[in-house]
Amino acid sequence: MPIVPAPGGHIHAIRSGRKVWGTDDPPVLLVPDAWQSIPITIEFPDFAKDVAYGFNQWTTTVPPSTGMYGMSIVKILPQTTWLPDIVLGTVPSSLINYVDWRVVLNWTKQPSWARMSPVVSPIIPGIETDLRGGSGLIEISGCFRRMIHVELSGTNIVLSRKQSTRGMNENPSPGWAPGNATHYPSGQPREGWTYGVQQEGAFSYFIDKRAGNNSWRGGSNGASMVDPTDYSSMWSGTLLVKPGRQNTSI
Amino acid sequence: MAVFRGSFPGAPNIAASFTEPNQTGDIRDIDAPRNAPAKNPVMHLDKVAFHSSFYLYEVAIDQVVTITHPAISGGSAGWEGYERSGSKILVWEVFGRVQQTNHAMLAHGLGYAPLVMVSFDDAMIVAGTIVQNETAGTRFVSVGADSTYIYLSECGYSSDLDLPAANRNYRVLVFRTPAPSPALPMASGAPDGSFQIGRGMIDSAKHYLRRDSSLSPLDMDIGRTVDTEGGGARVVTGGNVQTDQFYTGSFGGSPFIPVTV
Repeated sequence: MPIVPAPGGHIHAIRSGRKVWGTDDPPVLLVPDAWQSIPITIEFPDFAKDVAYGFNQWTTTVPPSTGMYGMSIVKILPQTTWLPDIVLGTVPSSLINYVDWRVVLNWTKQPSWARMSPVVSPIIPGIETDLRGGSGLIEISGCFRRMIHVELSGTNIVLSRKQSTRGMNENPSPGWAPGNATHYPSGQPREGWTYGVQQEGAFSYFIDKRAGNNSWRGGSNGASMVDPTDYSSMWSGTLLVKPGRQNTSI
Repeated sequence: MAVFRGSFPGAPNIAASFTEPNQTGDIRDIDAPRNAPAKNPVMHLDKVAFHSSFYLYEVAIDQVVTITHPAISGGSAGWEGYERSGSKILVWEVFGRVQQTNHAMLAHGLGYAPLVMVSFDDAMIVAGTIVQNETAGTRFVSVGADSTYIYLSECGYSSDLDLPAANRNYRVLVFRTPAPSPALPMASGAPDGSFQIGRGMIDSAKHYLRRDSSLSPLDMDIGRTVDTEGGGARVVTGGNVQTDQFYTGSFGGSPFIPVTV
């Protein structure tokens, strides 16, 4: 049987000149006695948001008319957030330095639509998904991404979560009102878009529109400023943990 | 020095290749301190190259599969306000649309959900690997398996332009979960040079994922492979970097093991 000694005190398993494995280049080993399935719930919180408000007015002479129009839109503020780590369990040995991570997930709460489209995911519900290196991009929209990462910290199995949004400088028509002012110094309503917290951010969801007098931001006929969105998200399922060892040589 | 031992009188079903922690005791005694890696391999993982109770990535299928990713039509949507004559006076416009599609890459025939790795463009696929990144849009994929199929899931988005359809070649590695055969001895060989170890757990006729000291198109990542910053994403596997159009971070990837089969 071609289990042969090799230089350096190693052993090679050889077949027809092909090295099947060797102690100098050992196979990546998984330890079935340490395999486990951990129920998992992955939550992402809603984003910090404000409301962008667009206002414009017109005057015509033939026929004579005036009019006003207001529109409110949820704006997701620029942010990148590592959420608190969660310890999911442990592995039985500190010598475990490699884990084959797989996950079976169902999207139990999807976030609101963003930028006229649903948030999508490359994860197929209910199917074992490969997490290379323990990582996966889990949610994708036109203005944000969410990811997960699992790894060993000592013998602890730790789940990390991160989400980030785009720091866009939207250019809606007829442009941002200088100084974020809703009115001129004279007291007349001012045309343009205004923001709640900061100008930067991604327009994500239409709230309301109003036509007619007093339809400026905060006016008696203003479009609703109530944010109907909820970008929080929840996934539930099972983390498949297959610990093992990768040795450079033994 | 590495040793190969098995068929201990007190543990006939154990075969292992390992480095002795010491030379105390009889080599045929499973309880001898020198055989501790064979008796309790989990506590001596750094000394074990093979153990009959361990799982090796035994290749069941190594196949290139071509997937045609469908086009994603472009366009715009939004909200507009009009004045009396019909002129737009308030406009919020968003370009593009999203699309999600699942592909059954191949039927593996194993009857259980196997471990699987898929590579694209000499990089292992992560959940979120980018396979198309153009001005018109971006397409992300992930790999999954059930008891029948290996799947490739994709989601992507277009812009005011159509994201065109794209053909991509994927190398699919499906790994069998072997079980020891009671009909086989712990180790045996044949005149033609074939052999088996651990009642078939290692079979010279098969291929196993193992370290490759030279550069390899296959890699096993042993750390984080994905990052998000600025509303975009970056994927780094085996040193290969993919970044979508919105990513603003500086993630450089993690260590990896070049492997071969």
